[in-house]
Amino acid sequence: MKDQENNISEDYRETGFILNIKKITNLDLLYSTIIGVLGGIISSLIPFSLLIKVWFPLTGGTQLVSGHHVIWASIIYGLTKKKPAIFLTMFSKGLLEFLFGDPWGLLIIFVNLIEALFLSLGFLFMEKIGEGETKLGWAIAGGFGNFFQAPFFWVINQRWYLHWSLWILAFIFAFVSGMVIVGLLGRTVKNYLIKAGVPTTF
Amino acid sequence: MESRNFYILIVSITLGLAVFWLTVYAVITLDVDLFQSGQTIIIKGEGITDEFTISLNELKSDKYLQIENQQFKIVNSFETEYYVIYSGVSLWSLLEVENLLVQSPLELKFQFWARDAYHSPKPINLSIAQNNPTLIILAYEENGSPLFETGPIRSVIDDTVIPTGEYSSQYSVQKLATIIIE
Repeated sequence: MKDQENNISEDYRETGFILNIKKITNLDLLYSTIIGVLGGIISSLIPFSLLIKVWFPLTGGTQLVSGHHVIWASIIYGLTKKKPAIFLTMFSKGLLEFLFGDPWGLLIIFVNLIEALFLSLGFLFMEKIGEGETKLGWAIAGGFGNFFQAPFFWVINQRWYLHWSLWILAFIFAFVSGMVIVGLLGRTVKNYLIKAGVPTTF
Repeated sequence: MESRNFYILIVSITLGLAVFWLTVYAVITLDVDLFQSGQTIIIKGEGITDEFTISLNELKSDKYLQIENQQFKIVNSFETEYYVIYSGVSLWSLLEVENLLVQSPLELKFQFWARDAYHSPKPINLSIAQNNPTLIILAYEENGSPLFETGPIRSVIDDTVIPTGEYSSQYSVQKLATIIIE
């Protein structure tokens, strides 16, 4: 029996929460891949911007739904409480978008990883100030996570010729979208998934 | 907890007011016509005789030069090249048939404006449209299907005729509403 236990510890690496260090488990990898692929397909193929165009007249308004690109990362964080899982999910999602022929090519993977970085920093900051599990904390972290892509794409598109008010509105919308879709909606979806019996890994 | 919620409320109201007034300011400053029909474009400016409005159905008339399923080279500001097949009407043909110009195209410039206040970066010389009537079009179909998300009409300029230092993607204006000729 003792020998068998030793063999097990030699053949398999322990995963999960060990010595206060969170290790990525197979379930984390599975969740990250499934949710990342789901996000990549939905981000690439569904024109969410049409939801906005019918009622907000100005360019940049579609930023109000841009949070759907990052909500996958907040859901995975809710299920795993591991920041590397955010990066894995966003990498899978970026890869799918690239394979679906995103006009920005490989750059889209970089953008997804930077969004993952800002969302992770947002969650880290919120946890430091004791807001890691509150709606406010999730909303602000989501805002941070989603905000980056707006100025990045507007700068890389060299839209200097557009009126300054359109720039400011687009940036406000990106942050608000992050708060509502990535933060609040992501938290709600996460809660319902857990309630429905999806196993968490933290 | 109550003061925390109060601060959240104050920030939300401030943000809402800022968005509202910025939107109003942008609509007024940029002269956005919120009530223009989505199925029409307007050609206006000091370079033409009178303001001219034309519908999508009229644009498809055979009296104008129709470009069908032609491949256009587009380059974006990240220097990514891509090719798209568009059908549409030649801009120059439209201006010529309707006899809209008051001066030589060499002395005039044109700029595209979208319904959502996006516009092409700068006015470019109209002689480019005159010399390349099949490469500057008002497109209504992409890959054989009517424009949906980006339409019903969008301007398209092939990258081969775009002035040096400019990117053709920025002149491919979705949801085209107005062409200003000055």
